Amino acid sequence: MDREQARFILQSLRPDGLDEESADFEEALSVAGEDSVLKAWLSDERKRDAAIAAAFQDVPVPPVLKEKIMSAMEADGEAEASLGGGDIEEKQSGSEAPSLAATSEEREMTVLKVEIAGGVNSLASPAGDASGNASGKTGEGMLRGVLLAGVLVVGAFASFELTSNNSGPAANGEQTVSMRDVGRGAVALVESDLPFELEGNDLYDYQDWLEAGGGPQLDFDGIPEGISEGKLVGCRLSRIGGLCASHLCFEVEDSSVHVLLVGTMPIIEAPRGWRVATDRWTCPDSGVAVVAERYDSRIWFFLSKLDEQKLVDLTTRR
Amino acid sequence: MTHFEELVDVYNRPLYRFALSLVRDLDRAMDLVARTFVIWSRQPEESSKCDKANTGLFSTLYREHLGRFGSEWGRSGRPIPSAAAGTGVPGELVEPLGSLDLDLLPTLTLFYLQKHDYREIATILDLPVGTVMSRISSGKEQLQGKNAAENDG
Repeated sequence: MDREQARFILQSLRPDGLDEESADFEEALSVAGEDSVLKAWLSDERKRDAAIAAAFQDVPVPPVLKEKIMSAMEADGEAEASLGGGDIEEKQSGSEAPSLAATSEEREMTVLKVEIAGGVNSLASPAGDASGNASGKTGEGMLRGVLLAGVLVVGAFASFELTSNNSGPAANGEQTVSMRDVGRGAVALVESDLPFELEGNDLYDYQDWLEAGGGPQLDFDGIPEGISEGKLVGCRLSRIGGLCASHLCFEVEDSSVHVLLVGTMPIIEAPRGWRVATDRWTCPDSGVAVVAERYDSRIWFFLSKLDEQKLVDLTTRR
Repeated sequence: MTHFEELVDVYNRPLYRFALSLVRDLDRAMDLVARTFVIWSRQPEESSKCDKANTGLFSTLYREHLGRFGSEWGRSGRPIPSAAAGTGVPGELVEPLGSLDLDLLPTLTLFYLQKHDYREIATILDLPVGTVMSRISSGKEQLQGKNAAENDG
């Protein structure tokens, strides 16, 4: 090992000395012991590192932090209890576990069952069709489409039950609600034409306002460019059943496009930012087209009276 | 005190400092830490193991940061609140981390928090060990370059 190799390795040596006994640094430290130039460099390096590390330790920690953590835990526990032990969780699927491939970038059309114990009735859209006419695509049809298209779901998400509109009691007695059910609630919300509490064209203002109100935190990157390039009309906090939703409205090509974000329980070990399911349909009564995208800990709903395919096209522009 | 409260006691401060370095906003850093513990607590098999908590909590926080804020907040350019006030420690010793390239910042922050060796940092950030070592080296060079430039200026 030469001086430069040793120097490179020793840069990863923590200044508190905890790594000195590590075999990883043994040879490099030995080289430094016999090389006066390297030894002097190491001494200076450790002083610099120690100074920065000490300054980090002096970064003040808000005294309310622990209280905030415990409050968040308590709130989470209450939410879980009120939801019957699982905010939104995925059901175990059949034995076939699709392999890990090609899902993050492809536009899979799976319809996943998500469960929210309780509150199902309140999610049903007054205008919604119980069967959820999905432009002629039933759940089975969509599943076939998925398989035919060769779109696979990541192994970690194989536990999802592929289904469509089942909002009735699950086999185990729990009440369940599908992503479609939540979408119907979103349609009803949009159709109610409530005023927006905040108006303007500044997404950052909206983000702060929604967050202050306890709404799901918006990640701007989650809004497709095809929609975010439109004119912002307004935003408000909405409730779909028992779920809090951040609700934005854009004007795109002279039509309103509503964006609703609903937070969910995180999918354990789901890669961050990966889309794990999508759905699309048009409400036959209201004519509102819906595109839903399920990510690891949130569901985006995009709704508009634009043609369903047009809405899909807008949501794929990212 | 429950096992979970003990975890909170041990890790809330370093997690907060890591979060603050990433999001550069006091409230968001607290929110991120609180959410990290909530997520962690939902993994009973994980949260019962102290040895996993040391890397698992930081890994959870980092993933949550990427998921919620993406690169948006990392580009805010807001400086890390100075640690210097009233401590006699030069503020510029902490502040330069805020000017590091974004891909170097998480690695250097974890390195200087000194809770993890470079192999554990690799686990937390889901990076190859060699990449972590390379980033530590590059980050230090950046810091020294900036300090030298400031001293010259």
